[in-house]
Amino acid sequence: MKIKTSRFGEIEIDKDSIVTMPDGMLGFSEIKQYVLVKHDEKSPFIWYQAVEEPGLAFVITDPFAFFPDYEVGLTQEDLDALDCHDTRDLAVFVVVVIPENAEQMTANLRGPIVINTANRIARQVVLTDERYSPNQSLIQAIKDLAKNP
Amino acid sequence: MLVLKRKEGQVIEVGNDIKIILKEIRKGHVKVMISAPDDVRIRRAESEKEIKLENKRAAASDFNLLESPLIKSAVEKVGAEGDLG
Repeated sequence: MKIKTSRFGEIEIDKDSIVTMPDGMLGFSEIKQYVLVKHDEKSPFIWYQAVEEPGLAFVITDPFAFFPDYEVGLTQEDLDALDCHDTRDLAVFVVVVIPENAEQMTANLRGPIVINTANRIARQVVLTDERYSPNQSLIQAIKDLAKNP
Repeated sequence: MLVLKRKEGQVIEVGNDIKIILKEIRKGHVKVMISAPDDVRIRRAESEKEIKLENKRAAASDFNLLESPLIKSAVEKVGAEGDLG
C-alpha cells in the first residue's frame, strides 16, 4: 500500500509490516501505527514513519550497535502490554535526536521502543535504570567503540 | 493526600505491600529506599516528561542531516543495521 510522508513523498509499504503501538509514542499518544523504513543499506539508522500522519517520523537505531552492553529491563506490565510470550521475539530500538550540530547527535536510552516481532505490537517503555540517559551522545559512543573494539 | 514529617532511617508504609525508607537525608537531597511487589511500577515523576521532550526533539530532527559527511563517516565505523525482524 502507498502512504504519504512529508519527508520522503509517497512511499510503498507492505501492509504486514505495520507496527501498532496501543499507547503511541510518548507525547504523540494519538498516533498508533508506524512502519520501519530502511534509510540506506549501509546505515544503522531506520525511519520510524507514522502511517496516518505524514509529518511525523523519527530516526531510530539499533542501540546495541553503539552500546554493546545496553540492557533493557522490562516490567511485567510492559510484557503484558506487548502480549509477549517469548522475550526472544522482542526487538529494541532507540530514538535518535539530530540537532543542527550533528556532533551532538543523541540517542534516548531511557525510553526505548520495544517491538514484539511475533504480533507487530510495539511500546515505548520508560526504563527505571538510572544508568541510561534520555540523551546519550552517539558520537562519544562511536569514539568509545573505536577505543575498545 | 498526606503530608508526613520523617527523620533519617524512618519508614512509611503505603498499603500492605509498599514500604518507603528514608535512608539518608542531606542538604539538597534525600536517598529513598522503596520496597514494593514486582508488579508495582516505581519511577521518578519526571521520567515520562523527559522521554516526551526527547520524542518532540527527535520528531523535529532534520533527516537531511543524516547525509552530512560527519555522520556518514562516523557510522561507517559502526556498520549497517542487521535484522529488522
